[in-house]
Amino acid sequence: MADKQTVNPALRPRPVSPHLQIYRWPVTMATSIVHRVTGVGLSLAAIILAWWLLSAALGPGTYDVFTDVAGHWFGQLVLFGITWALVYHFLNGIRHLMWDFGYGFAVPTAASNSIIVISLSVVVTIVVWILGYWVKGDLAL
Amino acid sequence: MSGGSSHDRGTGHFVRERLTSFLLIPLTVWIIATLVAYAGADHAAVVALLTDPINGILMTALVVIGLYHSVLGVQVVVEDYFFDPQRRALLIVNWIAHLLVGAVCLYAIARLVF
Repeated sequence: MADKQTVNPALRPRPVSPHLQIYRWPVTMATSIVHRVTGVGLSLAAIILAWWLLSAALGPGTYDVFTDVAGHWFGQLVLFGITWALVYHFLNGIRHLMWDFGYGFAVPTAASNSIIVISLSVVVTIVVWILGYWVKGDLAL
Repeated sequence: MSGGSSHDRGTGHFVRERLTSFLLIPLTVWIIATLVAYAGADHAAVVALLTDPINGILMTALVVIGLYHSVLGVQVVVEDYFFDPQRRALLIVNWIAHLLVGAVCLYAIARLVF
């Protein structure tokens, strides 16, 4: 045991705890963070809902300003983003409610339904927008 | 130290967050379906939609329940990243901002209906 004392303990390789640069992010971490980000985003999107309702209440002239902005490519991009945030938060929210009832807690289940929620949110958002453009008459299906 | 922190009112917050999210499931399906159905609709059609009793009530419910859910969610974010006195101030700002947005929404709906 005496020879071990010759190694300076301060220079011995120390155990390394998970480090951000080498840490493998579980997909459940991504769904959790995205849930929070989309939640805050939707809180801000409530301002657009208020703007839409107020524009409708103030009359056709004011409403035209809203539809012009919403119909611009950038407006459409923002609205597409809000749609995805809503669909994602909705689907992942159901996942959270299922946890509250005790379902889907096992790590492999939580990981696989994370991937399902992410994929489904993209698919549903695209389908919603295809239907929207179809209703609008800009798209022939 | 209290002042609305989660440690003394956490259970109530948890229950209200779950209750509002449960109620928002059908309301979210309704708003997405309605907005798709009214894509490209003119002013008259949108006014007709919002003055229709069922859709008007659903929109009011979405505004009230959605914004309350939003208050609860933003509160958690503030409590996670800020400490007093910023936390206390931001929790008040959170309520004021949501009440303002809610007031505009409800004023608009009321103006359309009455």
